[in-house]
Amino acid sequence: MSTTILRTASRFIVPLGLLFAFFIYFKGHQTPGGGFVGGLVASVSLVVHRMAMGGKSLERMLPIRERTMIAIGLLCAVGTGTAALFFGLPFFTSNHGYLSDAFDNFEWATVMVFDLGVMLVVTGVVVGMIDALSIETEEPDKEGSSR
Amino acid sequence: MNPHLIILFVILPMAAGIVSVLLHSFKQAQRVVGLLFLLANAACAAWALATVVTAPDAVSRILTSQMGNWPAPFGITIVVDPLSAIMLTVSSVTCVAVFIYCSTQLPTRFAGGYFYALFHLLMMGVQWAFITGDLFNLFVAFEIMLMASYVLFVVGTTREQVRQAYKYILLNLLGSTLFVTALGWLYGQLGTLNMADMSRMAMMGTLPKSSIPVIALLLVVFGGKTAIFPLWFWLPDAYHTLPAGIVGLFAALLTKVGAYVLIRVFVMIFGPSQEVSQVLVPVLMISAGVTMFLGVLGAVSMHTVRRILSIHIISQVGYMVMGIGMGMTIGAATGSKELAVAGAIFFVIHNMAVKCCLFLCGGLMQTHAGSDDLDRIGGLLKKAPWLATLFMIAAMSLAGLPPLSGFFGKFVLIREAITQERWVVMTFAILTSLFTLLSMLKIWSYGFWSPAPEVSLEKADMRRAISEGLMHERPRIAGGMVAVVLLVGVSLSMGLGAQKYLDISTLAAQSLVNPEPYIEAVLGKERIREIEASRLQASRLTMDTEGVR
Repeated sequence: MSTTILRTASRFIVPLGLLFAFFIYFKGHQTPGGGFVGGLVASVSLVVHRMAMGGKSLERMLPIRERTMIAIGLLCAVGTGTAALFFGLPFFTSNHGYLSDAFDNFEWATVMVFDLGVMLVVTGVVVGMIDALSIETEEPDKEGSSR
Repeated sequence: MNPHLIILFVILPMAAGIVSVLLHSFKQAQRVVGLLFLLANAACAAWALATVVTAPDAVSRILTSQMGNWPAPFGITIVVDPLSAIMLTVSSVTCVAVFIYCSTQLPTRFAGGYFYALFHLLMMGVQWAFITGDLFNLFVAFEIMLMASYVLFVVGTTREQVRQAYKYILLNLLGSTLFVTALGWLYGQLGTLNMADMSRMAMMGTLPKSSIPVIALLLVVFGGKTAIFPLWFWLPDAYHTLPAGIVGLFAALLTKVGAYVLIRVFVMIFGPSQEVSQVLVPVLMISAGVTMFLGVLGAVSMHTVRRILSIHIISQVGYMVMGIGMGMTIGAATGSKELAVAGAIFFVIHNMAVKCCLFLCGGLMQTHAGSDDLDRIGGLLKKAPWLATLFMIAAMSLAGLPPLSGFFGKFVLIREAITQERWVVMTFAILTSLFTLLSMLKIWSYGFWSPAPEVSLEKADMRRAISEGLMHERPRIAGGMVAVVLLVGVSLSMGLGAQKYLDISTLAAQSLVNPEPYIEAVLGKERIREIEASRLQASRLTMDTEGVR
């Protein structure tokens, strides 16, 4: 799978893809996009990296294991909902507001934390699954099957 | 209790599941944290039950919270009414016991990895099903519960387990497809899936005629999950392949959630509608009789502990369905309906604790003797006198001997069957009780009472059980006994304090048979009027357009 062309291209594709993922995530509050799609785009770029550079390299690049990513994502989601309870409001009640002019009146909402959680879960699930399936097909002595 | 806090019943198990994933490599920490979360959960449930029972009037007995502050029937509603509170309390206590059992008895390769996370997530699905206020979220809760159960089914990965799990998953996928189809259909006809809103329509008699087949389809879906006749065939084959801890968990939760949903959907939501009751009551009553009788015959014919108990789950479901059917009977006095439903509720919670307890006892028998095949074991009375005593109490409770908990459940149900002059189902209920006693005595006399077999197969059996992942290599029996004692304690308290439990069940049954307070608590007085007016307008509009045509 790993060719020079793919390896060179992946240097550009991966950072751009991750950037685009965050763009979609921020865009998603009012317009099409959001955490789920953003997570898919992010995981595609990570998978491209894996194809080009191999599983070891991906492992080095990710600061945390995929399952930790999923757990943190879920915690973000539950945490957002639970925060409302501390204000005596029902679970999942959200709040929103606007940033100053300097930020182009960007509309923030507490839902964004939830969405970030969704993004982390989706990325963790997709990358983790593809990684696990790829390890099966690759030679065991090259990758090690002790994940 | 602040009503918004009822969402804790979803948050706590979910958080416990997440923490278990984060603690992936630290098994001991997972056990400790999991147990703490479960205890907190049980405390919350007891608190909710106390709040609900001591509330001054029927409306304030129902705690509601609207997710994200979106009003019902448009948003997601969660509700804790007396029925939910009882189910939450008993199921959370049972789960504590099963958790203790699993952490001490399950083989290492089960308990490794994600077992504890799945345990908590299964519980999350179950508790969500108990508190949800609309049918679509019930579907989601079911899916969470089932997905966790799919993985728990194959977690030991013996050949037999995977083979049976394949059937189980296929059937449940089919069930889920039917469920979501029925929901879409129902939503198209009623414009709402909110339980309170649907119940209101049933009370006013504005359910369209065409919705009755869809409601019957729902009965098929829930009947499959609860394992009633003729949809019970998947259960006995699937459950007996599992180690005792997991099958105890499934027996305590999965089919009982089905029974809970049957009570909620058919007694509370559609019970007030005459047309629905007319169609469903005969089906329910026939199914109840056949389920309990065939189930127990199957149990008597089996010869391993887990198989006897698995098939026996089905037979017990029959009693619950019998109560539900009598609770929907048209023309019966309200008091009689309430008592029948109260009997069904009492029976569900009794069964949760006792059935689970018996499975755990079966597991401990295997730990002592290496097998749970009644032909290969014996003499356990001498070897484990305490286990024998506890097993006897639980078994007699299941058979319904006074003053144990099973007796009171059956007593109320049979009494109401006499009041409503349902002689056939009553006869079956009594016969089933006798056969239950017989099947329990079979385990007792072969496993405990008879002398130990002359050629001891213990060593070989134990090796095999360990290699099949049914037993821990170095089981700590004390931990398992703690779990059994806890469950027997629950059963004894239900027998000796039956009046208290029946009072609470009756309270729950009252708010089910007459759902007006529930509707008011969820939708509010004003909202009811608003919706009424808009519906009236809509019906006028359609009449006008029909006139134009």
